Amino acid sequence: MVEISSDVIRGYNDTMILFNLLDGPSYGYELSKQIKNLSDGKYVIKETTLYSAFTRMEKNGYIESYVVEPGADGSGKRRTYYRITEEGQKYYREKCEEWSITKDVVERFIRYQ
Amino acid sequence: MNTIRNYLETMFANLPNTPEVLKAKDELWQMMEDKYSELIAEGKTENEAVGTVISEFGNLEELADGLGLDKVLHPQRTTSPEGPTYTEDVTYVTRREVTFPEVKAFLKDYANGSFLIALGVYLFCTCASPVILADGLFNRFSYADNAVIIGVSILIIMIVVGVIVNVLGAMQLNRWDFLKEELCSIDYATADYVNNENARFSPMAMMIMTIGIILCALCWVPLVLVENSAFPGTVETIMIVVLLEMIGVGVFLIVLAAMLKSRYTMLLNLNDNTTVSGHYRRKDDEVHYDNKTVEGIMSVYWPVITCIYLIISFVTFSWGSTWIIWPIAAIFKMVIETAFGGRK
Repeated sequence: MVEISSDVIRGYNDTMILFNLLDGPSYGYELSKQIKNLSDGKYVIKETTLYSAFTRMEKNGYIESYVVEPGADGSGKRRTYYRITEEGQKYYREKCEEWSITKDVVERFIRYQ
Repeated sequence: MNTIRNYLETMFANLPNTPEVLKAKDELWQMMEDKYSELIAEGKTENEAVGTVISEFGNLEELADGLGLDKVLHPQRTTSPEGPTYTEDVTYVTRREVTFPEVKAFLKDYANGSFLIALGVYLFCTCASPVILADGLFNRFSYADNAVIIGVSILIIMIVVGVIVNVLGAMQLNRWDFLKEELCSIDYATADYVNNENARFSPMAMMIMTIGIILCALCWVPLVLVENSAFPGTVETIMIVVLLEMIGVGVFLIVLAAMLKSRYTMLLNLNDNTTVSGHYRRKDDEVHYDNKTVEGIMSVYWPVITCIYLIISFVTFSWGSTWIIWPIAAIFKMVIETAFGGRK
């Protein structure tokens, strides 16, 4: 079975994370689970990849983090949650447009034999 | 679960303890823990769950940028006439690495030194006993003067021995002064060892300390008990000596426990946020005083209180009520901490 190329997908980790944040704040493991489920298990994001995306996007102002104390979200542990910002929504729309162009361009060179 | 924790600690063991690194470790741990719990809940075996979590962890190179670690993970090669050299990141000062054998030697020397110093303090505390005994027990006899002379001689011998013992103890400790003066660090495995030893010794230190404090606090009891005895002179003399011995042994135990405990904290405090030793580093919960004078006073707070307690008690001889100094001192300390201090 052909596996997904991490080089190609790298540019779209942000898109996948932001997509999952559009409907409300979330935390590390939940996001990684959503990405895995939505891709039918074809893409499993590494913990380090996810965390480096968090730090980078937080620095750029696309997302904000906040800490939820134990019990507040119905779990017994302290968690860092992330929420998308206005900037992040703008960035997400740009990434979507970028993808539709990319997809359109690459698609023209694909011939299934 | 322990396997995962160890894996994470090992991955991070060679990184400096900067706030960014600690935050990254904390958050990666949250994710790994969540994933592990869910895999177990799905009915996976412990081994399968650990395997999945570790295989899906990724690698630290990815974090380098976000943590400002690029220079640590990839020291830049610059070519000079003498050949390639590595440029050091300016924020990472070279530290003297204290090795594991050195740490063991330090712990041993410090234990010996502590014992000698505590012994010296004991001798100083009790050196008056021989004179009190000689004077109190033999003053009715013709050789009273000789007895006092012998008592004073023993007192002098005790002081001399006390000084010698203290100097020897200080010498044991002085060998390790560089730990305070130079920037040092210990590696993760060593810090782990020190931390375990500390945890193992803590209950004992607590007990020794408590016994010491009880002895000091109750030293007046024997004297009060014999207040109405049939032979006031003799019995009282003996009880004063007992009082001195109780203080002596009590102070000995307090000093010993405090010093033995401090050697572990001293080692663990060598690491701060630029050293590499996993999660072992300086504790943040110590109170820091903004004012230098206050800081100086507070560093000798408890010894000063102890002196005040002993002086007042000896002068007024009302041991039954002077203990009130301790709770007052504790409350006063809290007031000072609130007024002048701030937790870092």
